[in-house]
Amino acid sequence: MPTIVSVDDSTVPGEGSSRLLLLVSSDNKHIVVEEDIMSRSRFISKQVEGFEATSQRHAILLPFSSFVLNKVIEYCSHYRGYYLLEDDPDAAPPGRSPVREWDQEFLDVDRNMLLRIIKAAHYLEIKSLVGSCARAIADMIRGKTTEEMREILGVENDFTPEEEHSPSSKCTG
Amino acid sequence: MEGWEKEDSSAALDTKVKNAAASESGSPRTRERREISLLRNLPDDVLLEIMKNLDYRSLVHCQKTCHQMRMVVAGSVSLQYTIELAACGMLDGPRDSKTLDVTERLRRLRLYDAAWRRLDFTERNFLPHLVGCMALSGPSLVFFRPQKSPSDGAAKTVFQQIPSRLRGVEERHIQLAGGNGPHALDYSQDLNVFLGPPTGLSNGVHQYQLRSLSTGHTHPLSTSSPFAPPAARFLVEIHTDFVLEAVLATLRWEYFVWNWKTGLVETSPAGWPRRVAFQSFHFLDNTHILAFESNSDNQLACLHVFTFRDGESGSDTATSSNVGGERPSYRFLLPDFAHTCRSLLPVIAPRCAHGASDTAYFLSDPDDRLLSITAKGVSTLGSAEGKVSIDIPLSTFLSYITEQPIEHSITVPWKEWGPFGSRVAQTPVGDLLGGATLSGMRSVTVRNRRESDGAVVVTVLDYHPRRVARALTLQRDGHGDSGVTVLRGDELEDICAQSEGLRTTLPCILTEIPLPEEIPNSLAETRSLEVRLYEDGILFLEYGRDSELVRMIRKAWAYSF
Repeated sequence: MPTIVSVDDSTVPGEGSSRLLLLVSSDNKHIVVEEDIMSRSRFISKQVEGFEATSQRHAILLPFSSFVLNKVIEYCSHYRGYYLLEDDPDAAPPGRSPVREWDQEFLDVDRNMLLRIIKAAHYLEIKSLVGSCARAIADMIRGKTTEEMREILGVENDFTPEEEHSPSSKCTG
Repeated sequence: MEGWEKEDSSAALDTKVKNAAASESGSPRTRERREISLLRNLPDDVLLEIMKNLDYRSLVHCQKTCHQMRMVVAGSVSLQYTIELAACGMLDGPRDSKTLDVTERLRRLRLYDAAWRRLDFTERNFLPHLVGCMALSGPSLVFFRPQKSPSDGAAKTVFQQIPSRLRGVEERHIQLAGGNGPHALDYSQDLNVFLGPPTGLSNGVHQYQLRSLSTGHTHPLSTSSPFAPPAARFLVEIHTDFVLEAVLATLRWEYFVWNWKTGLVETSPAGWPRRVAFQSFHFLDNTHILAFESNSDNQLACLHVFTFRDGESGSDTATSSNVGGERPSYRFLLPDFAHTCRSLLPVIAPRCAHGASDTAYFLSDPDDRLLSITAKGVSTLGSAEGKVSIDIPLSTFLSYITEQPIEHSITVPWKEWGPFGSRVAQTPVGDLLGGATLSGMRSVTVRNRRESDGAVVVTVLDYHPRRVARALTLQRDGHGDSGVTVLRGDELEDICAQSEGLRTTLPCILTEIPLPEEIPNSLAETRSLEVRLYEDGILFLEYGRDSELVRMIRKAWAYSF
């Protein structure tokens, strides 16, 4: 049986304050978090809309570890209440996301962790975090050779020798 | 735990959680494998987000890593646009809601690049009653329209805008008052600088004025320019906030740099060489002016670079800002042609390509510009007279200035600055019909073909390193375009082999197209044909005479895209 993290009565949502969500990570850790912290995630927001439609709330299962999930919650808590342009589906600008100093420090983690965070952020549909991670990953592979990029990204060369030497895309022709 | 759905937190949830956990943990070995394949599990749109942050070179390497990456690039218009821009040596233009979306920009960019690789003439257009073209900037030309008859009204200046797919502008022209004096245009700032009529203050003193190219209205921000004395020759150029005015008065050149927004003026330095014959003045950037200097025997011709400081020298009176610290200057000596040419004739003034205007959908990098110098002479190797032309990328030239700031004025011998970043070529006499016209890294000349038929051909040289690299690849793969030759640095025909310190190391793409049939060769030889290179293509201004003996100009674009 999973252990439910007990919540102090004083933080139980009352009128006007944020309600709580129960998130369950893949390593079976239960994490309780205030709803409006996670509202940056489109995935969570959609779930919450579902709760409201059915007036039934349940735990949300997430396919990544608590370590990654906590990192994402840390990000969402930091920007709690902030408006980030990239997260706004109506106003999201195309192209790169802006450089935010806090994000750079926050994402100063090893490459596997970075890949896990971006995957989680994509799953949770947090565009600003995907953008920041993408920028950090791009910084790691920028200026590297094809072989070095494979090494860093853990990709295998799945081209046949012919494919490898053919023009890499039609636009170089 | 009010509000939690009880059912889901019981056994069903437990099973789900366990399954999820099982897929995440596992034996160390499977874990390792999963780490490795983590990226391949990344969805395409995450990869796209990553690749949006990459530059051209990294993108090219990235799409060679695996199929998924290649498919992501193939499916993304914006990544393809990034790659295509870099491969064409261009930059993206400004974005706003009114301009084109990326798909259309990419389509036009491909057409644009293809048009440069397969040059073709468009139909002629007819522009009535115009005389010489006085300045060109972006798609905008300024012509002088003389008074035809007393009833015709005063002479006019005509601004002609050529339709441009690079900017989405239509053909239009406006006529304004104004004379035959020097003009400078800046299409991106919508500005025309022209010499006003003599003021009543004193004898024949002029003042420059600024007006809008599109409406003709005086610019509201413009300060008043320094007074120009009555003079034999005027030169004027505009670059961002600065207007460069040069006058040849009483056998001596003077120049002024006027910041038209602040009104600050810097004059030629105190130690200005008196006897030197300057032939041209150009802005290199926001700090440097290039002047071409040739003294009487022409053997010590050099490029002179002056710095200006935009009033920083501490002077508070606008007209005497040269009293501050010394402004260092450079003298870049040209090769000693005495080895290869005797009786060198006056050198044709150097030309310097203008920076691209910033209103196009895509534009060439303002740092990718060419400096070209042409000299005439008689070869010592044979009796043939010849012309020597030197083409240098401006960034190479400027690197000698910006990388080693100097305190005092210095002289730099050719061997130190020229050989490795320049191309020196010699052509037989009569070959070159006029000097080169430049735009970005391209240079266009009209010349007689070297082969026996002597037909007049238009020769385009393109020095952009990426375009050269691509042309080499295409040629190697057998997809080269007809009429296009890629000249490697070591294959060039030149005068340098005989002269120590002169080398050609700058590869380029050479394209030759014959003139259209309806333009007789004689036109080119009598200089009734003017060729101007601009960002959209090559402009041919053909001067003929109509029954009223008023000159007319026809124009044709070298290509339409």
